[in-house]
Amino acid sequence: MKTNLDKLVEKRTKELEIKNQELFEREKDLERANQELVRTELAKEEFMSMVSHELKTPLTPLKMYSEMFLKTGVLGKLDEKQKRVMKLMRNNVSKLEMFVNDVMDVYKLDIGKLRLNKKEVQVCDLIEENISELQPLMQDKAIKFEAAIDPPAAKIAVVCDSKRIEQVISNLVKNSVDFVPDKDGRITIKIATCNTVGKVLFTVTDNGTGIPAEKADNLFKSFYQIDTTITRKHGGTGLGLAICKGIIEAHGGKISVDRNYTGGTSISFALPIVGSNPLGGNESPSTSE
Amino acid sequence: MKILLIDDNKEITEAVAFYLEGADISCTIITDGRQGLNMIKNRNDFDLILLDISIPGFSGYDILDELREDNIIVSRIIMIFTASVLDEERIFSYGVKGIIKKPISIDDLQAAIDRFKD
Repeated sequence: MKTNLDKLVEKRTKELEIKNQELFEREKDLERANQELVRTELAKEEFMSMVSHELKTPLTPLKMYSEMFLKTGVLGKLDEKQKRVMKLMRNNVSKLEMFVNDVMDVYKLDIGKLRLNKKEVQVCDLIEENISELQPLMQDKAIKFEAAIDPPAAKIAVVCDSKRIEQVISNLVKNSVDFVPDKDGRITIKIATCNTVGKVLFTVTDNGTGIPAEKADNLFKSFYQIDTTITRKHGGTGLGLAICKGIIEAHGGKISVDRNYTGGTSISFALPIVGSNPLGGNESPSTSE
Repeated sequence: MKILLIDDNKEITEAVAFYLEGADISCTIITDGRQGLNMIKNRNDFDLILLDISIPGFSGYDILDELREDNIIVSRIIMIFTASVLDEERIFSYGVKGIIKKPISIDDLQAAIDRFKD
């Protein structure tokens, strides 16, 4: 005859068996969900590759022929009016290409597949070519554009993907171009060392409309724009600053907006100096983030 | 200089060939992956091979796989055309010399030509 204790043990054993079965089923469910997630991610990756391919392939003949007309003269000489039209076509191809690149960059950052081709470069080499490429953007609004490089910083080397860092600087400056006033616009790139933290600090400052304090938190988030009417006026995807953040963080750096700057917008990012021996301290490249 | 161009997109092959013709460079165009592989295997007089990675059917990857299986070293001369930005690691794993991203620019194409001219 079963004692009360036996009955209790039996009851508890049954309960445990049920719990075990439930756990086993839950584990199976999670495994299935995980497999489904992997399949979805792979399908998403294939889809994004296909989108990139389908959007960029038709642009190739447009880009090549317009460049052949404008750069090489292989297809004959154009008069001034034809040149203007051809430039318009080429610029719009570039805009569409940049749009696709931005979307793909955000996706690559999202899945951790942004490929960095890191090499040791001198800060002055990094900035020089970038500035000359950006200079033509200043012409329409007659913007005063200058670079202020601290002499010690110019000789410093950083390990980075120079194309990607140029992309960051270019994105920041292009944003500034959109927001400075039509008259007396000013954009400055300042480069200085912070030896205490073993970093070199890049700051892009403008005298534009500035970032409202309450919106600063969202500034580096994907798809976020301070004012959506800006998109319609200036174009752009609202992805530029999110891409900047991803690229700088992939380099072990930080990017931030100076909330205390009242004369416009000031955004800084810091990159580790080659062979530096940080002494500690506040690593944030700017006064606040 | 002799270039082998393997790409199924006729508009692209025409544009590339047009540019190469202007630069006085001989260009053989193949639009089918298997034929492209045979051409690479049977002729070794090309100074540069431009290969599109996403040819339908027998793709650029299939060509690279077969070449690798046959121990044919391709790194000396192959540049890859690709519009995808997610497959760079995979492409470089074959030891190819470089990637020309679509949409192809004249500057990138000329840089590849200059690299293999001599």
